[in-house]
Amino acid sequence: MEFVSAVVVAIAGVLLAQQPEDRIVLLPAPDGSVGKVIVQGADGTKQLDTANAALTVDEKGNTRNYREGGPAIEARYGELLAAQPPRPRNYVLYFLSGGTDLAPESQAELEAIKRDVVARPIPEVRVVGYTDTVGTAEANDALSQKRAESVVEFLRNAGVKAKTFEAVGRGERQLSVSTRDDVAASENRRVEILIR
Amino acid sequence: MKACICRPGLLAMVFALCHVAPALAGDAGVVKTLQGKVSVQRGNELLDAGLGMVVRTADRIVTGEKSAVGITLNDNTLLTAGPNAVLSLDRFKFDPKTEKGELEANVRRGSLSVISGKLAKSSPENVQFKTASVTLGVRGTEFIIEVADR
Repeated sequence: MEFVSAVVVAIAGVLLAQQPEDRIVLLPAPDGSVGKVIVQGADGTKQLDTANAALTVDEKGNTRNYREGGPAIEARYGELLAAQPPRPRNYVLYFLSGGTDLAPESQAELEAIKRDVVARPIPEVRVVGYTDTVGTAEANDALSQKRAESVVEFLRNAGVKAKTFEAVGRGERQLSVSTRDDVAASENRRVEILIR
Repeated sequence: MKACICRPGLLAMVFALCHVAPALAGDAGVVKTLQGKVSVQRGNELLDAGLGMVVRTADRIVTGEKSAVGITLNDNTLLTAGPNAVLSLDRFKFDPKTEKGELEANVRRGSLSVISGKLAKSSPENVQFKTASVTLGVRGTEFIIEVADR
């Protein structure tokens, strides 16, 4: 009797092991940093927060933590990862006070932007203008929008060719250097160019 | 306030004449890489995907054998679907001015690699990836979801 039940359990074990499982694998960023994935399954919530942490999900929605090895990730997902789009990249350009003359120290950055755009099959350019806290938030929204639009013009005249150009004014949001209201700070008056 | 997007005019040389037009509501991202056969179900239409195609909210992306597609969303999230995959972009909104919005994508079949973008940083509670059996919350990271054939 015991032998029979042992065999039944073994067969059930083999059958269950062959049921297809879903997988979730957390990957480190190129700089090695790792974020977090919170997985809610039938058997509750689990978190992945270290490099190559993984879990399987069976067809009932039950999850089981494990760690995937580096070579196993490459073997299983290498082609998928090779098909990823190029990572977006941010650049910062500084202009001489008041106009659209590029500050001399930004010339090299402009050349880097041009090389980046040319290297992407479907380049998109988003120019984002920022201000310091001098003036009202609304006025700074409008000012940074105008500045972003004029930098889009500048980039196109400088020979940058992209599928789309987008101009966004973010005003006083995301100060580069934290200041109180109505404080002039040249580090905050900037234009960031996102290439993706 | 809509950001201004500059798109090549229909009859123009690709880069010569670029007019500034507002981004279309519902636009979610752009196809940046493509191998093999990839289709997009949009409403009642089945469209052939191509490099540079604009992907919209509610699109369902379907890849064939030996196929793959990489899509960059407007918040810089990178989605890559492998062969024999079905990915539905159920909800997507992103305001580049406030960097807020929402994203919900459902992996119905196949593998998806995700490199999260601005939404996972600024509105993580509004970002969800789903399969038939689990829901994933994301805090600024890269991961893979593989849904087995059933």
